[in-house]
Amino acid sequence: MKNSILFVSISILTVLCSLVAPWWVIAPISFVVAYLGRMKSAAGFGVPFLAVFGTWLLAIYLKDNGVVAELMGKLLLLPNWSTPILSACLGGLVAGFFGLSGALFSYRRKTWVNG
Amino acid sequence: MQKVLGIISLIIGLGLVYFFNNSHTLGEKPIPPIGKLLNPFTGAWQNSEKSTDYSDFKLTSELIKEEVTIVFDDRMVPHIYAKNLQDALFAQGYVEAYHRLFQMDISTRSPDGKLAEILGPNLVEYDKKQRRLGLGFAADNALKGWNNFPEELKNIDAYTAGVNHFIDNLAPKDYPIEYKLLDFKPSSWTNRHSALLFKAMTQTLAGYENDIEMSNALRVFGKEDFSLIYPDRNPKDIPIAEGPYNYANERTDSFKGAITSLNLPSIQRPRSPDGVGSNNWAVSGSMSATGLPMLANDPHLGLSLPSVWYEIAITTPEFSAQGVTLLGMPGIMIGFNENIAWGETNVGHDVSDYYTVKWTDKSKTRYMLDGQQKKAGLKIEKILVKGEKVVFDTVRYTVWGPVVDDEANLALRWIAHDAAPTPEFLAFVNGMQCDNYDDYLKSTAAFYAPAQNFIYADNKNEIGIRINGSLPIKKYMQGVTITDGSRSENGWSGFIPRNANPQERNPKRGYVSSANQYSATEDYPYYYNGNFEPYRGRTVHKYLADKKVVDLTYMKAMQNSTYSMLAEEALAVMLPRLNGKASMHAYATELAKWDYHYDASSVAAVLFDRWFSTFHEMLWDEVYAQNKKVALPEPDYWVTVNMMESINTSKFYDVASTSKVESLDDLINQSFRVVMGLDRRTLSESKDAQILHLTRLPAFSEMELALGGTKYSLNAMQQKFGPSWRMIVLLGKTPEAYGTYPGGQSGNPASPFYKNRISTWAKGEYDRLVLARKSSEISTSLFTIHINHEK
Repeated sequence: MKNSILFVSISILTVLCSLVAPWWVIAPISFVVAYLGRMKSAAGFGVPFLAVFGTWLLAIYLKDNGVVAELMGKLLLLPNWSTPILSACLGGLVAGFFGLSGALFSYRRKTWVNG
Repeated sequence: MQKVLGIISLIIGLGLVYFFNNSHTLGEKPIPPIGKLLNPFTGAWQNSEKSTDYSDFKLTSELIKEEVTIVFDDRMVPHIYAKNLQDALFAQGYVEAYHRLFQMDISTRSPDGKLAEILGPNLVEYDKKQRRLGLGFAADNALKGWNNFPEELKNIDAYTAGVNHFIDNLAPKDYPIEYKLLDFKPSSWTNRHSALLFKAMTQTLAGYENDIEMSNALRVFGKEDFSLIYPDRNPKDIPIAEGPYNYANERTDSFKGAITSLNLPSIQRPRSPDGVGSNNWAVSGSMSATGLPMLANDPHLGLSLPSVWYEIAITTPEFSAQGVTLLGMPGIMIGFNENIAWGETNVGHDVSDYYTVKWTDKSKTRYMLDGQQKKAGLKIEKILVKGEKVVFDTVRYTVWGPVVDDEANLALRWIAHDAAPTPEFLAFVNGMQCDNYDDYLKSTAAFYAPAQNFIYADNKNEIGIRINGSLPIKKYMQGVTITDGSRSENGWSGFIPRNANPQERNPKRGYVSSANQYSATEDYPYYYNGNFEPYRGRTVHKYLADKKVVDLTYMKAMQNSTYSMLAEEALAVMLPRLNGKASMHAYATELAKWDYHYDASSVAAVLFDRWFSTFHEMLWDEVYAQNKKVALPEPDYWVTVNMMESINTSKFYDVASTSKVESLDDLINQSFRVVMGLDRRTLSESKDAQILHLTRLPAFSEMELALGGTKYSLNAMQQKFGPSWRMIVLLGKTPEAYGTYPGGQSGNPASPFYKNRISTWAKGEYDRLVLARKSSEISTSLFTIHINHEK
């Protein structure tokens, strides 16, 4: 349940902040949400990864009818279908590592507070 | 432990952000900032453009006086409706930036020598050369000239304001895709950018010269052989204006300032590319199916994506005009309005001459002129380089112009450096508003450079053509070779008076035409030389001279004709001289049956090209063998044809590397043996036409087009050059116009209008260009922009 709420929070924050901030705003979002949400390390990577991956992939499919996917495919010498997924992975990875980091720092804080 | 892992994870995350947010190079391969490029909110995905995306919008500007409406028709051509000219030009600037911002940016950076700043160290040498040619200096001079015309300057100010209105309101997510890929930002537009574009055009069209090579040739071969290999003039040519010329001038004696003693290497210098050219013709009502004139124009420039041309229509209460323009310049260059049609082809006069510079010492700050020391102007060029340190270069300016090469110590006297007496853009801004020939002549009279053959036709049954531009007065052979720069008397002795520029108005033959051939006959009282086309001009005459009635279908067929007069003339000599086995060979039969048309499916065209070029190289082996040691110009193909037609014995027929003494027949038969060994391939199989994006990225280009044509046919399609715009206008009460170009209106590779017009163009078909005086006359529109005055 907690992870679902954090998943949704990251997704919504990603959309809102990306309208005004550079693409790497997903890094601080993931870090802060994972930190404040006191995530476990596996979830700290997985939840932000999936949230940003999903948000980006959805945003790409809503905007592009395949033309940019094809251009990027030709440019990067990859199959056309793979470029939206590659893009989403790229965002997911950044979010994942920052989330993991946030989770690891919060995990330490929790143990310190508790005992 | 957690903390350590947390820090490691954070470092990896930061590393990824840094890597994804910046450009890199992997070996030689540039890696774009893929985070910026591939994120969905500001990356390339935002450039996706669907036909359902278009909707009307409004904008306001305090620089607009009254309301302007821009309606985009179903071909994405903007129709601008304004209450006054300046508002219309503001809108023109806006729509050009709206569709082609990156193109405008890159094509001004190129002459300005500012490509390394965005493309990296590989472009430093190119930038240096452009600055050495003084293109930026030329643009600065042009601006100084423009500033003397405050009233006319308002036109270009309005255009510039329109471009900037678009740039200033552009969010990073909407930057053209190339900015995201190359990771830079658009900068503000200025009038200087328009001047730079004019200079870039002058470089492409009037940057022709081969002074170093000709000097070498004159020394190596001596006068007599030189004039055989590199004759001054093709006797078969039919010039644009056939005279008589009633101008008071006597041709002067021979030029004495040529320098041929230096053995100079062919210095690298950006020049007019081979393949640039154009056709235009206008037939009068007496030979037109409609009873009123028809005009055709097809400029051949480098084919690129986006296309060099942009189609536009402009309507004010005073006029309504449509046609194409080069990006970055107000007005319409090739087009028509309700009453007239106009167009241009290039003039080949040599307006680019190299002068030797004699420095007084190694510091190269003073040089000798007329026995006196003169101080050179030093201009420090600062070249910014992406990812690397700034590069500095010192360019020395002499009385002739910039010193282009330090080793060769040559200065360039070039028409592009002059400040034109009136702004060049006026020819197009004023020309599009005319409704009679006298006004049109007046509007275009001051056009300075690059000189063009301005053609004209109207619905009052007038046709005309004028060689328009500043043409230097030269002595016989002046500027063919390098010139002695130590004497000021070796400079150009002024310019041909403008009313003495060759021209024709309603000539008896019933049509006017040009295809980059000589401007006038040898009776013309001024000497000129340069680079003139030997076959297309005569081909136009072949098609029109005995034709009684010309109609639209015929005009279209002419523009698309792949007939090569060179092939016909050469084969008339070559085929009958084949002997023995060669004359019976299947390829000989194939060539004998050939109609000299370079169709995409033609095998004979490939065979002929190979046969002729092999023959040409064997004939001029004296040139090609030495070419490795000393820089020499390549002899022209027409010289080869004329020679085989009229000279039976010549020492040049002998191939020096063999012990035998070859004859003309030997050369023809030996060169045919090379052809006999060829596989059967069609023209399109042997050379695919390409239309490359400005960045040359194959992803944004059209790589394989099966097209016919040759440099010498009216459809002058070569691999990367060709008819970049074809227009035909039938004048009448309302004009009936057709046009086609290999590209699309939008510069966005992700737009449905990026290359949608290529297939129509490739098929030799045309779009109907409908001049809509009112927006309600546009049958289908994609969207409308309303611009209002902001209080």
